[in-house]
Amino acid sequence: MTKRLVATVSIALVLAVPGISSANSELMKLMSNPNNWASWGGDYAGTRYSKLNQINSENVGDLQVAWTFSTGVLRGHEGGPLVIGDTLYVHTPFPNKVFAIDLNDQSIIWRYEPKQDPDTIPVMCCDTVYRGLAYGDGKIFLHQADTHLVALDAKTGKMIWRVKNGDPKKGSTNTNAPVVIKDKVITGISGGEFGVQGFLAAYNINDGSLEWKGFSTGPDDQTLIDPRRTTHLGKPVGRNSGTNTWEGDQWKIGGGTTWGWYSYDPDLNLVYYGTGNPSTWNPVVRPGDNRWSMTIFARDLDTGMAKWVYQMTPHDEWDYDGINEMILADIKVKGQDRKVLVHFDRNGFGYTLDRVTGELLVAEKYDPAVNWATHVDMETGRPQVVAKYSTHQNGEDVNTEDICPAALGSKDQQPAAFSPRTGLFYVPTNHVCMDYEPFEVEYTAGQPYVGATLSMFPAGRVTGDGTNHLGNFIAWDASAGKIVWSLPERFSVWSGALATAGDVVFYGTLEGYLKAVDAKTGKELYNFKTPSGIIGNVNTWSHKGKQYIGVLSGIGGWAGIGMAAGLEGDTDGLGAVGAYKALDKYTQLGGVMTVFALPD
Amino acid sequence: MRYRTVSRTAKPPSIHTMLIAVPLLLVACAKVQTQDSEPGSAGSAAAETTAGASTSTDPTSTSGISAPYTVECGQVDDDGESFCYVDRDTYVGWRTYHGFCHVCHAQDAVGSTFAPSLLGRMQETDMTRDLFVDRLANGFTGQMGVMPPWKENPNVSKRYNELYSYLMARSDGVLPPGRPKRFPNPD
Repeated sequence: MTKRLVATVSIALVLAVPGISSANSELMKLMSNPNNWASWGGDYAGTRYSKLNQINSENVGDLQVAWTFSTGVLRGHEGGPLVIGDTLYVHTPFPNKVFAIDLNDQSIIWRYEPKQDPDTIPVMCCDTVYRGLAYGDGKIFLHQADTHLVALDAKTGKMIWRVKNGDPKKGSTNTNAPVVIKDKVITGISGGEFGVQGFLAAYNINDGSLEWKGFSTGPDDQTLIDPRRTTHLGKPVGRNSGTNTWEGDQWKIGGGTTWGWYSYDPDLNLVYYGTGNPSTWNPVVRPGDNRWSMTIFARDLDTGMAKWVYQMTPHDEWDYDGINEMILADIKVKGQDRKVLVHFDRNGFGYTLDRVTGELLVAEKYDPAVNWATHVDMETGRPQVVAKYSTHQNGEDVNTEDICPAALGSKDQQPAAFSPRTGLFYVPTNHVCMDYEPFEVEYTAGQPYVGATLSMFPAGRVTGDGTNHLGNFIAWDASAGKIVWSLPERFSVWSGALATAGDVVFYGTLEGYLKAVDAKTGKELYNFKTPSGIIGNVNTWSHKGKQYIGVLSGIGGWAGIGMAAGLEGDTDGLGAVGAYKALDKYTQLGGVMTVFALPD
Repeated sequence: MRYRTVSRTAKPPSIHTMLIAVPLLLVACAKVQTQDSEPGSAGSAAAETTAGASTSTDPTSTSGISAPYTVECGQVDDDGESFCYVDRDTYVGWRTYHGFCHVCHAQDAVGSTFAPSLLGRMQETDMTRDLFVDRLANGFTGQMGVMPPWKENPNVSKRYNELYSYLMARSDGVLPPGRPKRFPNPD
């Protein structure tokens, strides 16, 4: 009896160790088994790397389509499927359907289609995309466009609980994939073009109760920033750092939304993510640094308290949202082993930071066309803005021309991949520049609050190098801050990359090609034209000993309008036959998942 | 220099009219397009004049109802890039469009994967000015998507006329893609 009690107590103690919950260990175990693809990034570090090597650089040329699945939904299909054991879970854009598919026979085990107010659609800037699901504790977490966060039974699809994370009537919507960490599901909010005050929220996976909510802007009790302990480049941020670089109450409609990807370091217990643009796009009316928009946050998972922050683009003047993924890797920087966070920002700089302390290690341009800043000052972390490209200095009602990159960034949300085998980061990028003219707008709740006009065009028009392509797929050395190789693509590369232990890197193109390239050289080894343009992420898993590669095609998203890019044709400086027309020539709408494997 | 004045009723021209008008418009290298929406005026498209000095027509002088647009293309800026001069309404319409509408309907109104090109839509016979304003103010559910109501947004609800001018100038094939400039002396 006593022995048994002792044993029970020991187990209870093990389970009760602070910071370890059963959901966490279950998910960590699932993620460490490469047969699964259990979260958006494959792992908490967001590497999008798989240890599977059945498909490799020698045989990838033999790849074939194994099976396909139509989602029955048009519009832009971002994100990718999850695979847990024998089941694949895939999502769609609005109306945010979820399908659980039996990998043994590709039959549908269950489906879930929420009823959502169609009035949500027009509040969503840039299409009704949704970047995917999260798994944990036997549940599938769906974050609907109308901001309802829903927990579904992973076996049956039955709803277990549902909470509302925002108000579409005030312009809040949802597009991001949540993540499950320990007993929490972490999610953010979209609506930076509607004056939403961005935040990251943690809900309890058991009942959906709110555990903490850390705003991007506002007083310390809202931002969960400790004025003495939270640091920016090693220095405490001081009191109310989330309000004192804003005029008056502007922080309340200050943006800094959080619609990107979230990573987590279990050893440090920190969750990493970036915040979006300050509202409005007219910088003249919001003097100051507009903290903490455009910022990388490291928050303690248990309390939500910010450990460190780094603002990449103080006082944004170009809509360079800082929401792109944070990839956690252990690499050598200047000869020293470092625990780093690597981030390819919309603003065109590739950042390498020490993820323990937030120290800035590297900040270099990952597209040579980037011109709005000469460099990042490594002492202050501030980009050195070129006056001629400052839309603020040029002022309201003045058209600032030839800024690179365009508002959609040198890269948007499409996540990069990291291969520990090559030590390289594989980055899908845009090669697009813009003219930008800010003007005065009035704020009305639930209404777009933009305040600038944009024209976008191929970067070649600014660099004058005679090119007119709109994207590149690059390999990046995050230690040196240098491009190792770069593959030009006709259109922006808007799909999430995948790197594997077979030394193959996969990505999709807007024309609809799935491509496989050699991880070391970038040499193209395989391509296949899927039914529609690809803005989804390429994921991989293994079932019954066979490795599969899966990707959603379904053109749309900002890529679907970004491609218009001032290229109707006739008047384009490069004489390009309108890129948008060209895209229209290659592909049409329609969501389909295509799954590839080697022949038997 | 060669100028063209196109008159018609408030309704857009028939497709037949456009087929005649557009190719002619495209060959003129420098031109002024003034589109009258005076009710009851002749619907024929190609009343052509070759005029001397004046390049701009006061859009409100004839009827008190805003004429859709006045456009003069073929200008060249200091960098050697060509551009068009437009009247105030068309310019403000361009700016409003690219501050709001372009998020779905794309730059230059060419349409995206989830919202139609307005170049064709503005030319369809049912697209009267009244319907245009109604669609902007009250929104509607289309085949592919949802047009939001804009009447609550002062940045747009004050600009229906200007948006109409800009979109007609675009859809008539008179104003090419890109950023227009206002006439140097709007008065």
